[in-house]
Amino acid sequence: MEVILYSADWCPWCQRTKMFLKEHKIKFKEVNVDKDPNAALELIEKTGQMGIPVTIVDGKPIIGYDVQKLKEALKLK
Amino acid sequence: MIELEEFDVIIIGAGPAGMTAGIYASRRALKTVIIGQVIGGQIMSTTWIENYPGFKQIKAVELVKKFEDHVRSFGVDIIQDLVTEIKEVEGGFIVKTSTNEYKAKAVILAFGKSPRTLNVPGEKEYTGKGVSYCAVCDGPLFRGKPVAVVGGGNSAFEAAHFLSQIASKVYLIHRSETFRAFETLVEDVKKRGVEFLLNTEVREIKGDKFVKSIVIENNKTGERRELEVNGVFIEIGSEVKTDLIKDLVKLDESNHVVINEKGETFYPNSDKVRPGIFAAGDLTNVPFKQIVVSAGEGCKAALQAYNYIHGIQTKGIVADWSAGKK
Repeated sequence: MEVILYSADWCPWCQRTKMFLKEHKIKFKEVNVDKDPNAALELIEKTGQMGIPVTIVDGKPIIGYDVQKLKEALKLK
Repeated sequence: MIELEEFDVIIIGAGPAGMTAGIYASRRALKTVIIGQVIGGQIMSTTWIENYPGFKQIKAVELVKKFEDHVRSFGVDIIQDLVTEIKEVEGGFIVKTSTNEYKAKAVILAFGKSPRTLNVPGEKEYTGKGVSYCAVCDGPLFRGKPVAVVGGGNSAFEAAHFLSQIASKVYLIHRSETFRAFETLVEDVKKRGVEFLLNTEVREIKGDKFVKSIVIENNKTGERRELEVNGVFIEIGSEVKTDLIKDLVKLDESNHVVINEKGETFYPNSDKVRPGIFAAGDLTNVPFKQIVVSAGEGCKAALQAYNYIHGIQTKGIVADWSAGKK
């Protein structure tokens, strides 16, 4: 399973999502949109949204910190 | 017909009030569920908390996680969903959400306040596509782009301050010429090159896939013009969303839910207690919107909901030393 988290240092929901992934021992790649403007553009293009965090699980984006959707996508109980 | 899942208590809202209510209700062995859109509620839009007892300084996100872990440790589920209707039925209430329906003997309203909206064309359509109510959340995506902040209070100036480090240009749009924000903050923002557009109101938000511009009007001269911006950060305070509750419970003149000292609500325009509906936190008429106040209110609402479900009459001062017993 490939998990990518688009986040920024300041964003509280990004921190929360990161905590969630770590707590469930999910390996993920983090892309900091604050430090990588190209990644920000790529994300906006991919999701059609201007908001973070976005967690991409095997190509499917989950916008925001949404426990139900994250659990479903990551096949967690 | 599918049987609805039935609870003793449904708590609507997952901020400090709702989560504390969840802890107390579950420790009284009430079958409890919390339904809320935003786990943590409004505190998630701040960074540091420095006034919650026991924590000299803690990140809002960490305090919220502690609340959430505490609630879940008692087996209370937090469902992230939007409640669309509360209906009274025989033996309790039906709570409808955008995806499901639940039944409960009692309901605790604890959904706090939501950001006030401008109510202009394009605002809803472009929310998440350039329109934002949280600068620290979405700001980083506007690097090198022109943005506008709407408002004249501390939160508007804090947003303008934050965005001035990211955006190519920041406009601060305010409908009057005086600010509610602290003077030092106003001066600091001015120094950072933020352009103030005063006596000015936003009339429309325009774009294609994303925001491209806003139509602004000077409310003194009536002059209208279009301003090219890719982001619109709306920071004009917060309000209780009353659609769900205005026909159920009594509200005061500023749309807060009127409660008594036990967290009970009243019928609309009446002084008669509304059995089965309790309220706590920022959406109530209790002054001082603080985490610790909301938590305390949540506790009261849950204990009174327990009394209501078990038909216990409380009069005068009631000591409750049962916290250790489950």
